[in-house]
Amino acid sequence: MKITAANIYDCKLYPYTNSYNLVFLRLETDEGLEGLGEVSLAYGAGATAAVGMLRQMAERFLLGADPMRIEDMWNRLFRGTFWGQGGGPVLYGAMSAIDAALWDIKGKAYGAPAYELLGGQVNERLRVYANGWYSRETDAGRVSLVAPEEYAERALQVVADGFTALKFDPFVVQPDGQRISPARHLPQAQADLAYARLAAVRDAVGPDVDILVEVHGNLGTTSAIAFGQRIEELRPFFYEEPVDAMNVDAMLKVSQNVRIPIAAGERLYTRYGFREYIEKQVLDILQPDMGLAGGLTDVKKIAAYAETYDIHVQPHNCAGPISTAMAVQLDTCITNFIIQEWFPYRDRRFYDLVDQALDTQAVDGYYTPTRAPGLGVVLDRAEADRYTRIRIS
Amino acid sequence: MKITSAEIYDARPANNAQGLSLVILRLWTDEGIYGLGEVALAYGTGSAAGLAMVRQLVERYVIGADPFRIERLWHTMFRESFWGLGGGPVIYGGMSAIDVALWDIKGKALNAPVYELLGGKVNSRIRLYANGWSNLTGEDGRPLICLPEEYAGAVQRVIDDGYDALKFDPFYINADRRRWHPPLVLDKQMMDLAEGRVRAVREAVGADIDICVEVHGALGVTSAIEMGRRLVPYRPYFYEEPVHALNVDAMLKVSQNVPLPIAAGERLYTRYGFRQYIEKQVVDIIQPDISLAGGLTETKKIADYADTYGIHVQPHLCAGPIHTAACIQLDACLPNFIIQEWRPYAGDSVLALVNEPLDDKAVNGYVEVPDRPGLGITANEEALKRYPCVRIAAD
Repeated sequence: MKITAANIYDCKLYPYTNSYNLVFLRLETDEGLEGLGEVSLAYGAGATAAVGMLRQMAERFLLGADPMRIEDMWNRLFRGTFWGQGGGPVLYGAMSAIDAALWDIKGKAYGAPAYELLGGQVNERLRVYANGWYSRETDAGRVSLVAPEEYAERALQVVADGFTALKFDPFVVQPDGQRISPARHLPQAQADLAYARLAAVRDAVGPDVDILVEVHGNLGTTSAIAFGQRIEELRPFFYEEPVDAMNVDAMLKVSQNVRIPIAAGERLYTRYGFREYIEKQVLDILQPDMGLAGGLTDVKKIAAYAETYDIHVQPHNCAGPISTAMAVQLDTCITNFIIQEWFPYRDRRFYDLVDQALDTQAVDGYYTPTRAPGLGVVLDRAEADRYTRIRIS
Repeated sequence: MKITSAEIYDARPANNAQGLSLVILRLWTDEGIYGLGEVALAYGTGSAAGLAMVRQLVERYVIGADPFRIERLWHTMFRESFWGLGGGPVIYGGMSAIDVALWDIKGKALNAPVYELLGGKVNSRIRLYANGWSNLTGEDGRPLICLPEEYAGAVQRVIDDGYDALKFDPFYINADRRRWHPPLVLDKQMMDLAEGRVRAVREAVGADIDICVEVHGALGVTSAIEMGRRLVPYRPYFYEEPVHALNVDAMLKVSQNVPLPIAAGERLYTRYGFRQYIEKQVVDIIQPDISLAGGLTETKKIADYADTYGIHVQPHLCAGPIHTAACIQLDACLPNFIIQEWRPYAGDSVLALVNEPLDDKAVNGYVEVPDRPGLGITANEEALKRYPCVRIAAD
C-alpha cells in the first residue's frame, strides 16, 4: 500500500481573532483506505504554521510511503526534518496528525479499532469531565460567566446533564467580563474572586462532583503555591498547569508545597518533553495532547513510562472532533487512564465536521468506546469542504 | 513611532550551495525606518511553518505596536500566543525574527549599532571558523568529498582563504558516498572512516589550525562516547551535538566520558531550553541560534547566564546575511564570546540579499565589527523583489 495524497484542512471556524482554527489531515492510499488526523493548534498562534509544516512533511515524506510502517515514519520525521530533534508544538503536532492518520488506515486495513492494535481494550467505558461550560462563542464574541453565583448555577446544569466532573479556570474572566490572563503575581482581588467562584461551585454541586482547577500556566510559583494552599479545603480533583511548564523545577516546587494532585502536559511533547516531569514526580496526572505530543505512537510510550511512577493519564483535548477520537483510542487501551477532557457545549460547526461526533455522546458522564475501525470517526466531506483544503499529491 | 506594515519574503536563492530557503522579515515604521530579521528555519523541514508563524505573530502583535518596547513585545508574544509557553523552533523562530528587526529599527532610529545598545563593544574583531567547505555536491548529485584524502585536498581552500579554524561533520556521508543519517550505533567500518577523515584533515592543516567536529546529534550515547575518545588524539576544538539535545542527562553522560569540550544549542530555545545544559555543566560552549532561540533580547540573557558558569558562546549560523549581521552584533558585546560559525562558501545569491553582507568580508579568519547603525545592513531591493512576498499592513 502507498500513500497517494494528503489533504490538509485549514478550518477557520469563526471570524474572530481568538477563535478556533482546526487543522486536520486526510490521507489517501492506493487501496482506497483513508486516514484522519488532527494537529491540536486550534487556538493561540500556530494553526497556519501547522498547515505549512504538514504541507512540507507531506511533500517530502508521505507521498509514496507505506502507511503501515508507522514507527518507521515517526522515526523518519523525527530525524529527517532536522527540527524533529528539537521541536515544539508545530513540528510534533504535524507528526501527531500524521501518526494518527496512519493508525486510522491500519485499523481500517485490519477491520479493527486502533486500540485493538495497541494492546486491546482495557477500559469498557471512559469517565469524562466537562470543560467549556462557563463560556460560549456568540456572533458578538465569546461571552463568559463572571459572578460566582453564575458559575454555581451553570455548574448545576452541567451536573444535570450527567457529568460527574467539571473543570474551569477561575482566574481568567475579569469582573467586567473581559478575558485577561492573570499576571504571575496574582493581585489579591483577583485571587479572592477566583476563590469565591470555586467555593460557589463546590457549595452548589456538593461533595460528590469533582472540580478540576485550571490555571493555564499563568501564575508564578509564589502565587500558585499561595492560591493552591488556599483551595485545598475545597478538595479539587487536580490543579492544572499551576505554573507554566517551561521550568520543571519551578513546577516541582509548587507540587511539593500544595496538597492537591498536580496535572500538566498540554505544552509538553514526546517522551523527551515529559521525561523530567515523570522522573522528578512533579505530576500526578499527565495531560499529553494526542494532536501535539507525538500521536498514538509516542503517547502510548509516554503513558507506559508514566505508569512506572504510578502517574495517571488524562489526554488534553481542546481541538476538533478528530482529536477527541484520537484521545479515546488511547484511553481505551492504557492501564493508567483516569479521566478524559470533554467539550460537550461547542458550537455545532465543530461537531458537524464528522458523523456523530463522540463529543456529543457522553451519557451520565461516561463515553463508551465503539468497535468502529481505525480512529472510529468519519469525516463529513461535504461539511469539511466548506473550509480551505490543500491537496498534495 | 509605530510599526505600520511588514513584508515576509520566501527567499530561495538560486544556486545557493546549501539549498537554503530563507524566511526574511522586514518591519516598516511610520518614520520610514525599517528593520530586518530572519527566521532561521532555512534548512530541514520548517520554512513553510516559519513563514506562516512570523506572519501570524506580526498580524496579531506587531502591527501598530511601538517598536522601541522590545522587551514588552517579547513578553507579550511569549505569554499571549499560548504556545510561547511551550514552543519550539517555529514559535520562537517567529519571535526571534521580530525581535531582531526591532533592534535594527531602534539602532537606526538612535543612529547606533545594535551592540552599542546591548552594553557596548567588548570585541572589535571577531574570530571565525569556516564551515560548509566539505559538503560539495557533484553534477551527479552525490557528495564530492568522501574519502579521507578528498577531505585533505578540500580543506586546503580554507587555509588558503586565511582561516585558522574550521568545522566539518565526518559522519554524515557514508562509505558508499551518500548522505545519510548515521545509525545510533556506528559499526567499526564507519568509525574508522570518520576517524580517518579527521586524521587526514589534521595532517593536512598541521597543528595550529583548530578543527571543530560536528555530529549533528546523530549518534547514540555509546557510539558518541567511543568516537569522542577516538578523536582525542587529533585535538578537536570542540565536539558538537554528539547526541541530540532532547535529553540533557544523555548529553551529560557523553560530556563526562569524553575529554573534549562539548558544544551544543542550535536546537535549544530561550533561557528555559538552555537552563539545564548550563546548570548541569553539560556543555563548554553554547551555540544558540539568534534567529531561533528568541532573538537578540533572549540570546543575550542566555549568554549572560552561561557566563556565570564560565561557559563560552559561539552563535550558530546557517541562514542568510541578515542573521549573520545579527550574530556579529551579539559577538561584539559578549565577554564570553569565543568564536563565530561562518559559511563563506554559501553563494553570491544568498549574500546579495543585502548591500553590505559580512559573509565575504573575512580577512585572515576574522571579521571587523561594522559601526553602521542597527544591524549595519540595508536591503538590496532588486534582489528581494525576485522572491514571493506577503505584505501585511494596518487596515
